[in-house]
Amino acid sequence: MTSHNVYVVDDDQAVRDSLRWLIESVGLKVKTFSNGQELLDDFSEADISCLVLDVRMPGISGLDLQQRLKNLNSKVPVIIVTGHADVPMAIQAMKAGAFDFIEKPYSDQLLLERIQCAIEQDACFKKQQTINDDINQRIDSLTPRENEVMALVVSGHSNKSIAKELGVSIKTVEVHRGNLMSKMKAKSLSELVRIALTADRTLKQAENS
Amino acid sequence: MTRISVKHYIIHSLFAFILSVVFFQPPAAAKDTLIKIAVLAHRGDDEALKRWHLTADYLSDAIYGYDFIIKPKSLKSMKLAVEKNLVDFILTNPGNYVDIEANFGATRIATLKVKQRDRALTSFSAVIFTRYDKHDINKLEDLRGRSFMAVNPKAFGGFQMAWLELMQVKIDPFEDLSSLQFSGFPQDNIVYAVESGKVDAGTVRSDTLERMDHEGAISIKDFKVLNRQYNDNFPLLHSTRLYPEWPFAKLKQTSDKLAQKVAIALLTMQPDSQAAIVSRSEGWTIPLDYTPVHEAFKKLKVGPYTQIHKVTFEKVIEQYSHYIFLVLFILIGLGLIIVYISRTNHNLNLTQTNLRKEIDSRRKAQAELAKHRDTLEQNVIKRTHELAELNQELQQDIVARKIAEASLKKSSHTLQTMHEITSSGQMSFEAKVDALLRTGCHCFDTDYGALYQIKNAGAQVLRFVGSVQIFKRGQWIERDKLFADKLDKDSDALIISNASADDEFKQRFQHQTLKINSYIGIPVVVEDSLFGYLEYGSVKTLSSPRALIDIDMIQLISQWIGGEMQRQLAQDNAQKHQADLAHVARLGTMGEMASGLAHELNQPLTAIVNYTRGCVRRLSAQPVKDLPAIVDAMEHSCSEAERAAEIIRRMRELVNKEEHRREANNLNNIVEVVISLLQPKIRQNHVNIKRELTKDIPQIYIDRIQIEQVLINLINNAIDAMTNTPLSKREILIQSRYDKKGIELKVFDRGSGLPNDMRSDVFEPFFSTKNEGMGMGLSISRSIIEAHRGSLNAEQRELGGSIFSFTLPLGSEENYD
Repeated sequence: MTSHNVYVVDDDQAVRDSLRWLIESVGLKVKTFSNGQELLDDFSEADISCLVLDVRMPGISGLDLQQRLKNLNSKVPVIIVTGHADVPMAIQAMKAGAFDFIEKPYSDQLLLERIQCAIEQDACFKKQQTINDDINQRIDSLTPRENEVMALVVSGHSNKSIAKELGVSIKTVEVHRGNLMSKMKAKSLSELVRIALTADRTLKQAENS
Repeated sequence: MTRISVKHYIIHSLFAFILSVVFFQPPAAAKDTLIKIAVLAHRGDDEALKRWHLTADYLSDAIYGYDFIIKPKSLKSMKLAVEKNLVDFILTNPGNYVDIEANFGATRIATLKVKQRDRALTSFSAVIFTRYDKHDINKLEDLRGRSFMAVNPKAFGGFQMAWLELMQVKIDPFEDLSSLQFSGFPQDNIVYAVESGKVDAGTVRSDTLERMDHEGAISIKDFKVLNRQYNDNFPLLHSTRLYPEWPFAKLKQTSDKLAQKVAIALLTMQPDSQAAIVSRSEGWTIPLDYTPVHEAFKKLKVGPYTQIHKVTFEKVIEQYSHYIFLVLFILIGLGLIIVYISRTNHNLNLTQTNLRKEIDSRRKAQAELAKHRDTLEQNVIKRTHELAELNQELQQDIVARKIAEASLKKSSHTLQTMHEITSSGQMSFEAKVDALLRTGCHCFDTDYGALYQIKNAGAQVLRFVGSVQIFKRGQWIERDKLFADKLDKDSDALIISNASADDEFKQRFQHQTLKINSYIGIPVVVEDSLFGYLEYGSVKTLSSPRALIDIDMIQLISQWIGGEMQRQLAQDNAQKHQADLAHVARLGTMGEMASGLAHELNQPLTAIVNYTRGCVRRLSAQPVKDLPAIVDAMEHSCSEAERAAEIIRRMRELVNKEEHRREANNLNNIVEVVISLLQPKIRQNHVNIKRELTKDIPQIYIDRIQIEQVLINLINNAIDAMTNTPLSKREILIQSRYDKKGIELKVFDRGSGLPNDMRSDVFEPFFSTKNEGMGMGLSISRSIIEAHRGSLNAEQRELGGSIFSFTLPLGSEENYD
């Protein structure tokens, strides 16, 4: 749990320091920044579990910063805090994928609870990301021929029909098949199908986002 | 063979697996796109469907690829559906939401803006009320031992809200009331029961009384609200704190992406859309904080907190005391602020009355002054005329001719000198008095001239001029040693030709080393009362009697001095009130300032809450660690409270709203008045004032005092901006112009100018480049000008310095109200 870092960006030092004090009270690590540029200069997706942003800041505003992080392809959950919320602002934040939008003065309970949720989401996402990266790496290691064979195997073709389809001997198909099974680290056909489906979903997700 | 059959088996089973995947995919996909919204149907399923089905259609239209449907649920079936993941979103009352949030991890994504007749409200409350003529029930405490009616023990707005408030005054509704009845829906029954006296008091959801009054079912005047609360954003009668309206919430398994799309769609729903209209709302707003509902349930030990009290009763008490402490702290703070503001209000009213009086007296003084000047002029004319007549007489009188001629020449010369002295623009008042005294000595042939001011039982020598030193400037002389003691404000000149022949006068001179033998004295009158004396004396005895012309002359001098004194006095008063004037103008801007200040207050308050909550969390942990850090945080919290207090202190200086009357005024006259008000500062800073005022400028309807205040501000700033400018270059140009649309007034200075990035900041409250400045001047000025439908602008002057200008529209009186 101690590895979860909450980043706080607020131009008001008292608010910044007091947020640190509050968030640390539930055993989370906090890093504070007085403006958006400071955060961008020191930004590393892997280190952040949750980002708490004030909307009204000189220089880069909270919403601008959120957009910039999105452009950097960051998936870190962002909680926007504001002293004077209005609906257009909330819509802008949500469209940019804000995790939550909280109006000052907020109760500590609400803020801490939302931070915890954001951290859970981030952890879950990062875990999935590692799995996906791993699978994609395995797929990338396949030769074009092995890729073709895998597609056919997964969609239920027999070695025989694969050989016929690709115009090669059954023996060759068996060799390809054996190679791709070990490259994909699949112990059984059903495992291969599962891995292939996960990879497919990741691809679709990437397209959607 | 076995291998082949095993292989076959694998392939078959794989086929079967793939098939199953292929065949079950479409229905699974279809299921994903059907989104179910569970809605609390507290008035029956049909009613719920009727109210919300258009919202579902709206979401289906707004979000591509998904179909939304409404599932009406009771409190019980809602919980079941959520527990079994049968629905994706819920739309329910705050109480139920909080329950589901605590038990199943729902998250609110929007809050309903409920339409109540002509307004949309995002929160609601409850009213605790009694009949108007129940004179022994005036506060919540008075309900002890009385009969009371509510809707239902589980109704949040219809009972639990009131329960919490009663609990705060240590009344347990189940034990301390003579009777507690539950009427069920509709809530109107409760109102009728109170009206008829069936029960002493009751509680209903906010707006019930207003609605029934509106419908004509009751008259709201027949009821009295207990524990009445006031909130700017909540205009309805209410007795309890505010709680947020119905939330739209996502459940734990619902994807964040979809939830976000739904939230955006809800927030963009137009108030006039069919979906909003049939749902009796004006659409949706940013999700509110539902913690107050949690807190209420926790305290009442209902909803998700039903079991809590048995297990951790003491802990709850512990937490409860912190909360009370915090609430008390805030209440005391608010109370202090209110007392402060009302006290300042009172003071301001007083100051204002004084100010009005002073302004009246100033005007009176000015009028008198003008009168005096007129008199002086007339006197000069009259005297010159008389002189001419006298001249004629003298010419006829050959014996007296030489003396008379000499005296005349002297007098006429004296008059001319006096005229030069009094009309000089360079000399100060003191220098002028000295010069007049000297001229008098010469004219009356005396050795000294002096001006006394009466103080207590004597007089002080203000000015003294002469060849013999009888008195020193500043010296205090006892009454009975004054030569002029007999003179009062209406006396004529006192003339002594030979002191040795006058016993009383002789006695008064006994303490003097120098013997004064001839004397002429006259009272100096300021504001119609005796200010002091003007006197001339000589060691010589007067050979011939004083000429009439001498008496006139000394009268002239004393009148001039009196008039000038009076003018100075008026000017001093005016200066003293310049500060008051600034204060008065600040009052008018209180309204505009309040919201900005509220935002400023939010920062330290947020920090205080964060620090305090962080401390409470650490202190409630066992064991308590890091005490020094907690002390440190409390220190920080204190200094933030001081920061908040500082903001409030600044707010006090603005205080309440005050409308002045707008009248037709000539802006050029205002410029002159302001220049005269600021004259001491202008002189002190060696600033040259140049005017380029358009002569036939039209009159405009303005609040004179406020516009004076703006000009004072601009000229004051211009003077301050030139502190580092060489003396020879310190010049302020004031320009007035007009066209069809309005009047423009510009103030040019040769100061340090305005950097580009500061130009918009100078009008912000609390922006100041001066060390002692509060940074309110320009902000107030702009509010004043904008209240007159004009605009105030700042620009950089080409050859250094800045230009501040304002425009005021022309128009009739009506246009300004």
